[in-house]
Amino acid sequence: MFVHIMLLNTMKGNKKGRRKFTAEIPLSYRLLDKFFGSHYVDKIIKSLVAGKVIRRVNNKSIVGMMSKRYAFCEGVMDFGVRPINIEKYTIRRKIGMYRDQHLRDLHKGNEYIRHEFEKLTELIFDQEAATQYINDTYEEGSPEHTSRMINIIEASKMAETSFSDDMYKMDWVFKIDSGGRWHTPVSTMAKDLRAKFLRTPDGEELCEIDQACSHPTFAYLFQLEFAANLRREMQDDGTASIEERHHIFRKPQASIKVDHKWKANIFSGQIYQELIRALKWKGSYDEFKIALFKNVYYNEYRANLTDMEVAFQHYFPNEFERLRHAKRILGNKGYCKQVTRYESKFWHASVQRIMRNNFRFITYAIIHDSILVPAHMTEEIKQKLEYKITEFFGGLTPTLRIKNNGED
Amino acid sequence: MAKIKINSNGVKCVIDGIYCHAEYYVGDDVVFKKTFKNLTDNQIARLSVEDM
Repeated sequence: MFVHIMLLNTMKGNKKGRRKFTAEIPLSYRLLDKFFGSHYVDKIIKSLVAGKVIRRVNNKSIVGMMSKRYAFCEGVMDFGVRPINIEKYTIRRKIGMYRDQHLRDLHKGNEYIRHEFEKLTELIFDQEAATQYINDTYEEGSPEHTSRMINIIEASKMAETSFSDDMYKMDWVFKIDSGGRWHTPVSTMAKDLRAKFLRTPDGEELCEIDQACSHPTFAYLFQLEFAANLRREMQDDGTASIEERHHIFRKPQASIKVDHKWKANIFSGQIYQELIRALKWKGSYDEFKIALFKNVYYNEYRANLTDMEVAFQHYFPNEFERLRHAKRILGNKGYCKQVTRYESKFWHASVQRIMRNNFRFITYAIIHDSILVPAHMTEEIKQKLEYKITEFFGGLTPTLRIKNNGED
Repeated sequence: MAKIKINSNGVKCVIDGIYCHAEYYVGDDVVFKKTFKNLTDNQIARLSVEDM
């Protein structure tokens, strides 16, 4: 990435006194093949030439010059590349198909990821009934209506995904973010739609196995390991130089003591209820969860604590110290990414293995911290998940719940 | 027609004209939501839990 930025900055000549890049460059087919796919390289080069972005500079064959050489057309680097919305369906589809390079890289040698992806595309979505439901329930033009309408179009395209010529052909949003979470039409689907209109290929209803208090539980594990690792790094065995010692002692340390009440409550899935009771919260359960995340986990790091932070610190001093410590060092964004990495390490990497090895022919979809499975298999799959998640948390078992039809 | 974008920080954006309805799933059925106006592509790509 860094090299790309350096290269682009050099080519654009956007720094004072730096000359613009005007040299001729041979286009490496090996590289272009990698980025665009062999089906499209020639077409892309032709369209760049036709659009006067690049021009060929060695039209006449010269002895000893093996590859075609191109240069940017005059003026191109002055205005740069402008993003435009592409309306034509066929071109949008082709762009969608470029994503398969990412998919191919992703799937290379990982049968578990491929298995999850293929099971995801087996899900059936009743678009007609969903459209009717959305139009009846939400006001047209409202964000809820718009978001759901786009979502059902995407979801209905999932079943059209095909695999040929070593390529996935698909026209729907698929992304794995930097924390390892999968973003698909199913994971972004509103809960009411997911429960009512998603089915297995046999028409069976889906049930959700969900981890109670998943965020505090993964955060607990991450914070504890983060504090412990940092302590280990900072141990001075007498071999550190003066500079290293200075660096070591400047780093903040966090306690690795455990608040047993906190631990018991997050693993039993009761922490939100306990906190509501302790803090005498007047609002609803959902409002409390949002308030907790906004005021304790993802608020700006400041010396002055919020009321909720003061209360949290009073009841769970060690957990609070580790949370502040991690936020101070990583920032909210970095902290959030690390917690989601732990989450996806279990909910994708481990669960993919369980499903591939034990339930190969069962359709399923993972939604961040839960999994949708056919109703008749729920108990059996839950048992396997419980065994695996206990292993993941070093002998502690977080609570897994079964939810029918999107109930809370 | 509105369109969906998901950036590398996991923020889902429904772009509807000049409005960008951003959502981030934190966990435990908690979703942070916020609507922004007139965001550029670069700004959308950089949205994270800190902005919500």
